[in-house]
Amino acid sequence: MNIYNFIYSFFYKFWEKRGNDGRIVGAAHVLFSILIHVLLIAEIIRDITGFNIISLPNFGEYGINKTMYFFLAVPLWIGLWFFYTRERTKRLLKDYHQKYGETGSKNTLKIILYFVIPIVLLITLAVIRQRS
Amino acid sequence: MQAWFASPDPFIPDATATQSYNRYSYCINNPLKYTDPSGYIDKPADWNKGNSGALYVNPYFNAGYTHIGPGSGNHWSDQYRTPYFNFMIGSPDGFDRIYGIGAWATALSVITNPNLEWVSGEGKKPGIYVKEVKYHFNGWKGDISSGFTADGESEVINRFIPFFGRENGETAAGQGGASGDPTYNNVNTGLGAFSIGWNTKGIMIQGAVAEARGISMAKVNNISNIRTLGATGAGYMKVVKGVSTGANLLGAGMTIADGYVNGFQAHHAADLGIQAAIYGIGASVPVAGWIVGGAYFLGDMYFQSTHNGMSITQYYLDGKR
Repeated sequence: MNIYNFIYSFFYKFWEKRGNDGRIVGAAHVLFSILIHVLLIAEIIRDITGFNIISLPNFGEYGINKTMYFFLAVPLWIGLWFFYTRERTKRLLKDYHQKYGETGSKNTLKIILYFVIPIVLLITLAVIRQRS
Repeated sequence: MQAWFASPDPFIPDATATQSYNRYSYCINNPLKYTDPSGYIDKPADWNKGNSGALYVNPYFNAGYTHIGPGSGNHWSDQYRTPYFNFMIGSPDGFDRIYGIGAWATALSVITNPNLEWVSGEGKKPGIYVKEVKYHFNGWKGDISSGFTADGESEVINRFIPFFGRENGETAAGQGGASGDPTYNNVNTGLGAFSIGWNTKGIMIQGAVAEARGISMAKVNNISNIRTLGATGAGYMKVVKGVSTGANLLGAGMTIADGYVNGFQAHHAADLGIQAAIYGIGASVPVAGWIVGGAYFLGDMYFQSTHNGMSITQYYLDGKR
């Protein structure tokens, strides 16, 4: 199970328990983590080589950027939602239970490693670069 | 021999039976035929002869009930999840406040188990008790209604959630373990989402009571409609919540993306904090998360439209232009 399927399964379970549609939220988490990972890689390359491999469009103000990026992300979100079909979800959850069981702490640590640390690292590196 | 109580009953067992209005009488003045261990409702003398077991778990008589009560932890879930689970709920303390719960429980048991065979010494369904408590149920309507509309904060809803299934399956405070009945989960989340929860629940309960009494098949038929409606509403609600939570998360992603493009500033940190807070609220407080998230999203969009595309945080933290 790759890390994105792991993230999907983890958050699917997490949000289904809380009455949210696990497929929709799970797909959003996957998209978010892909975005963070790609930006982190781009940031590391940018820090080392000075070359920006991702040139996101700038629509002007922060608020407009945020909104426009969001609308650009929606098709990807829907795509992932279609990708994680009910059947695929069922299979992934089965794998998840077999490989990782129900114990929460280990899986939570993995989520922190895959999901939270990249965010912190990305922001930290970007801020350091921008201030230097 | 005719036994009388020294004080009046706190409620009238059967609104349609004139003897019930004599609140000092014992078993409608027929102690040879009925017993009244609880002091509240007359029961057939041989009420406990039968094989369904239903009456054995009646909260008024069950020996194991003494440790069951609101806030008593796993005892709820450990014991009410039986075919007759609703009978398990009760507490000897403050009994006059418990019978109403029993009333609801009785009614709901009938829904949950439409083929339930009740045991009665007279060959009648113990729906007679349902009939009796229907009167009290009506008397409790105000309390229960306020409980359900208080989003789980009141004492009443904490008591009642086990019967209907917990909000979102498992978040009722003080009760661990098993989730509630999916049907009632659906009714809770679905109908609650579309603001018809209480009214429909009322119909549902009345339908259940009617079903138990066998007097109104029309109302009984409503039950299945309501179940369908509840399930549909719950499905929509899940999607709304899911979209809201996912959009909030992706909003955080877009904030980070803008920080990558234009440099991180104070408003980025503020927005990430707000989005994290909304995420946390959504994870811990049912419904509130998507309401807060949606309100913030719409508010921010409106703000941008009136402030040259600047978001709320940008406007206040990084200069007004």
